[in-house]
Amino acid sequence: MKKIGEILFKSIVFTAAILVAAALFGIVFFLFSESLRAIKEVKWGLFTSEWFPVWETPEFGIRTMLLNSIILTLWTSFIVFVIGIVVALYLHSYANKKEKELILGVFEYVSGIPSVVLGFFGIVIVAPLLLKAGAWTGQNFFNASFMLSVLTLPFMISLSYQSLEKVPKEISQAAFSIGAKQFSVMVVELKYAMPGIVNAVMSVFNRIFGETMIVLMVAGGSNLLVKSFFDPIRPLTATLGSELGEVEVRSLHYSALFFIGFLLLVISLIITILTNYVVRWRERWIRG
Amino acid sequence: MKWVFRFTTYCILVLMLIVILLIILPGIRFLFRPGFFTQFPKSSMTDGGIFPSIVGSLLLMALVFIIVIPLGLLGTIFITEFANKNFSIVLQSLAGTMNSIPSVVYGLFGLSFFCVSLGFGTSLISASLTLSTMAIPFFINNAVEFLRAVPRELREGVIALGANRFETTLMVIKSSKNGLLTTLILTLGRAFSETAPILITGAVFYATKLPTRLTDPVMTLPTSIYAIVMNLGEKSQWMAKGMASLMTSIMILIYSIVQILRRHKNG
Repeated sequence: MKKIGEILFKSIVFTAAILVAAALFGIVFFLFSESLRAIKEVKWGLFTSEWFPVWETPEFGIRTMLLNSIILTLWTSFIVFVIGIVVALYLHSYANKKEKELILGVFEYVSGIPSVVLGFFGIVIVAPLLLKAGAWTGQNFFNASFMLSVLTLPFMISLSYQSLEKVPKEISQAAFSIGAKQFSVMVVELKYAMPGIVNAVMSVFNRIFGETMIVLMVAGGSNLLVKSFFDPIRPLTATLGSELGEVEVRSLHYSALFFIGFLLLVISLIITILTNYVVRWRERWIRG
Repeated sequence: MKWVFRFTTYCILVLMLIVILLIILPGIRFLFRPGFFTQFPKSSMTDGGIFPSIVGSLLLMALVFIIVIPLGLLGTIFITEFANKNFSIVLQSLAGTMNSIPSVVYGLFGLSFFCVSLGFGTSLISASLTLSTMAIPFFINNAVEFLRAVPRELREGVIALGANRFETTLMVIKSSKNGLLTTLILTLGRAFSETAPILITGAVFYATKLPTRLTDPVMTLPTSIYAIVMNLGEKSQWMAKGMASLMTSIMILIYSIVQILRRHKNG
């Protein structure tokens, strides 16, 4: 009797775990199968620059949106990376305990602000300021990049801070004892914490690339390649958010939107796998 | 050098504080308006309250709670207590991978699987299943650490006393309940603030009545903020301000509880 109960329990927990694995394959499968129609019918037309899904002869080119997404993501992750490292280093090397608690606490609260609220903030507060400063539209590249930085900075800072804290004390003490200045010690620690920081940057990149609400609300929504900081743009995810609500199910347009989703999924999976690989490789490189 | 670092850090800190305050303060007085929480919105959302959005969000969270607790907990238990080493690594990295997929992709999956293939349509149940698909890996990812942290000796001690697998597992859960609670709160908070998946699978911008069945569409707080800001004029913006202030206050409350629990755990 006891045996049966144990087997039953084991099979229940097994099913729960398998469901999770099945969900991932389900996601890949459904996104691919729904985008199949667009792949078959539009073919390489999917990568041209014009996106006019509701015209008489519709065009489904996502190149401009893809490039805008990439430019926005690269630029914002760069800013977040630089500022994040500086703040994490300050917290790790100089700040006292009270300061650390206060600053990390505030950042944790910021990380809890829903992205739709940040989008709202971008429209209601940042956009009028930008207009006053002379931009011709308040919802633009700069605004989106700013709000995305606010969204991801807390994340970047806490991840890099944690990996800096994990650097063994002996490493920095050894550096100090051979006469290194604080700055050189930081370089050493940074090098040691590199796997964690690489992981943080890649996650930030992934998050910005996939973030929908903020770009949908404050990026401006015009499908032109970005040329200046104050140009309105439309990244891939914004198109998904704005058009999916109104599209006819299983139409070509629907399928093309799923193709965008599939592309997002593939890029995100590639980044995740690459991150795992790089992190493991760097770890081996550092720890021998 | 130190001063450059300090200056940058404090600039960012002040910026973040300004962002929080500018979100919470402008809307906070609307939270004390009579009827803000109990009335339906009136005259194209320029008057009235946010009652249907609150009910929608609460219903959604309740369903997510019901789905995530058993599946997330059982999945975590399997990974830490039952699976052999390789299998548990595979499952854990699957959960990690799912955690990094953009939320809008979950929305697409939910649209094609729950809304269209299973025929639930734009509804409460589609939205909550979609949110749960997203929340379970997040839960597992965080909860696994807490179950792993339970010392081996404790497990061995319980087994030595003659407990079976089930009782051992119960003990493990009991001794990591603070961590599990933290994880659960964070998971719900994340599901609560997520917008894009609900926007695609279950939300309507305006409902005249409350959902009565699982297949009814709902209004929720985040999607209402989005709808008001994008589609309605200045006169309705006060409602979005109130809701933004409310949502952010709830999230701050959630993170405060988490911080307290964390401190409690560390003694």
